[in-house]
Amino acid sequence: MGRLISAEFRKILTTKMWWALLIPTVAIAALWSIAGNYLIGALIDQIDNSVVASQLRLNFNNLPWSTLMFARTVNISAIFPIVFGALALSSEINRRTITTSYLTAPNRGSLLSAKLVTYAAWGMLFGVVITGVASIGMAIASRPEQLPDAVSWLEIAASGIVSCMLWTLLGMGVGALFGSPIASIISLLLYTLLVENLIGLALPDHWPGILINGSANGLTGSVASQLVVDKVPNIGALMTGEAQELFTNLIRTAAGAGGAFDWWISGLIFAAWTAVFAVAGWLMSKTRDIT
Amino acid sequence: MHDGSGRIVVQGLSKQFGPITAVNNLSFTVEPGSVTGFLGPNGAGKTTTLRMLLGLVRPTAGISTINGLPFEQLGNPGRVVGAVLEAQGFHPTRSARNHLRVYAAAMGVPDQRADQVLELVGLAEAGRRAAGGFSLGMKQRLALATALLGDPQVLVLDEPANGLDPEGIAWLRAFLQSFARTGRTVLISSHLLAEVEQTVDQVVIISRGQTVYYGSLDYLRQSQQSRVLVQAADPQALVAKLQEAGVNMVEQTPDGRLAITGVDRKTVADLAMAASIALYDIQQETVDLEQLFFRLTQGQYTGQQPGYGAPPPGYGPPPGGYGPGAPGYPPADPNQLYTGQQPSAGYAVPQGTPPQGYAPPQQGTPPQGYAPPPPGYDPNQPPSYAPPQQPGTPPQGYAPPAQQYPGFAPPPGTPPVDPQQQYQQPGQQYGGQPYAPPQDQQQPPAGGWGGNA
Repeated sequence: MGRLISAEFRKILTTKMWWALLIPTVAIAALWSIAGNYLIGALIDQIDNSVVASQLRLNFNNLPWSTLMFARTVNISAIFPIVFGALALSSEINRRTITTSYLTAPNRGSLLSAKLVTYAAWGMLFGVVITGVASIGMAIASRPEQLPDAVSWLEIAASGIVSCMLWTLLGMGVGALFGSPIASIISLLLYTLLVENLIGLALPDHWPGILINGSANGLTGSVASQLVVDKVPNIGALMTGEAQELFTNLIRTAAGAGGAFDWWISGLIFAAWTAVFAVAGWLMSKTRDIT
Repeated sequence: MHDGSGRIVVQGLSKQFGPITAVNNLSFTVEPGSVTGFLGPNGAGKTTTLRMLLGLVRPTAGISTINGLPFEQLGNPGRVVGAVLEAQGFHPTRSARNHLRVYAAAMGVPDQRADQVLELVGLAEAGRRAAGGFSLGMKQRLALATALLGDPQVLVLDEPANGLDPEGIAWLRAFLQSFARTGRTVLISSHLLAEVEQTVDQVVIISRGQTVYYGSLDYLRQSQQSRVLVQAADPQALVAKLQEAGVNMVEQTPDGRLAITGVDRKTVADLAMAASIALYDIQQETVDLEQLFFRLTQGQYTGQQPGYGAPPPGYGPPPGGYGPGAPGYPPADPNQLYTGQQPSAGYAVPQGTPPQGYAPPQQGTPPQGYAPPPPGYDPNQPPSYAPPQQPGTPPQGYAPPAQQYPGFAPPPGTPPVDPQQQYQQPGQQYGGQPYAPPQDQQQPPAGGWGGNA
């Protein structure tokens, strides 16, 4: 297994794909976190300076708003680890290198296991890069009083890294299932960016939270929104009861986790989705004829 | 663990792709220490068979083993069997050296091995170039380098000569022969017999997914009879004289000449001289191996009845496996052709038509180890492969049986003088061979095995 994992790492490092995908990943993460945090800062200023807020003595300024932007940044940047994972097996099939890969592995299962381990590691690496860039962008663009504390930051960063890892493995499963890079990438992007949002609109309440994208967003978004929601009573004396609930939902939606479950339930649902596609891709790869 | 024998066994292998039967109940054995050719026309199922052997395609039925085990149980298969299946399995932007280092890591051989095999196949200079920029011939060499990476005991090559220049082909030949000479196993597929004729000792010939011949190439070669065409002043007298001398394979051709099978030109001329019969014309005609191969595999596209492709009993594998050591098996010695070893039954040795194209196998000077192209090889010599004939055109010299010479019917017990049949049942002409077909097979199978009827 160790031999095959080291071979997988060599496969990745001897082509340009990994950094060709890391460049736009960094760019998107930086753009979203910097622009988004400036935008939130300006928006909160507007609200705080408004007549209503000052009359009601509400102060929105001291909430960790930047975490919402952090979750959003991770979710949008995750499309690159998805593509990276989708190419893991499908590009080998497409390039026909899969023949030699199978011929030099004890069996197909061991090659697929080695790929799973390798791409889990690479997914985490993408996660580290994305959360790192998002954190830097947050530190640059956000008001100091809107930053999370150290423990909260570790929580959202960890959820972001786990999310990227699972996305990579899910992409790999879909790639193995379809066996074609184009088909798997297009269907993955189309689904996560468009199709699921349309389905989500038609579903009531918590239902979007059990879908693939919904649960993935819930993993990062719920952690972030919870950090903000916990501080909602700090806004002012009036933030109680229905007003608090309404405001909480608003925050969750802003974090991209509208209708999602708690972060750990979302995480389990998303992990289950990943397992479904990984197993389906595995079974397909075990039986696929390499002609 | 595998038994380390280097033996490849294919048993009853079948593969169905949807409605298409690519391979149908194929069986053969490849022994170590020899180069075995796996021959058949395009689409005969060669690639599918090799891929089933290597665990890349799941057989519909049957099993195949290398060293006594199915591929996926070999443990670290790259160290046991190396395969050249296609010259396309490279990432276009990955350098040749990196490609090899990836798979060196996968099979656990040191990285220096990558440079060694690059050197071996003559790609040392190009090692740092991206494989996508390689010519087809260079890709074939890189594929061979990949196969050799694990220093395997068994080498499987699917049409490895595709894209190689004549120099590369000659190099490959010498390499494979020296590889086999070290007691290792080589299985090489081709759709051209002439392409591998100099390289292989054994052949497995398949057509439409079924085995039509499997055994030694020499044996197949011996079954290719030459015949002598003479124009005699007194044909009847000549036939009588020939019969007196024990030559019974005589027939008359439509243009009035005599076609005598089983003797050489000199014998006929001497006999005619002794009988004082004037000969106006005498010429020797040979069928080359390629024509025979074509004949064997011809059913593929001509829509013959089922059973056409089935091997006659004379060609079938003997029960209990087919090894070079089997009793009665002709020794795998190409020199046999030229040394005039007399087969039994009084027939003359088939004329040792020198193999077409390249120089005869260099028995005397085996290439040392992984030798460069043999020095005697002349790359400018054009390969003179006989083009396959159009289906329906009888191969030259094997027109439908000519009229029997009146009054000179062969004695009872002699096979009918039918050239087609002679080629189908070589065992009959060489009594004592273990391939003599049973008596009820005197007649060709329905549909005409020679295929031109």
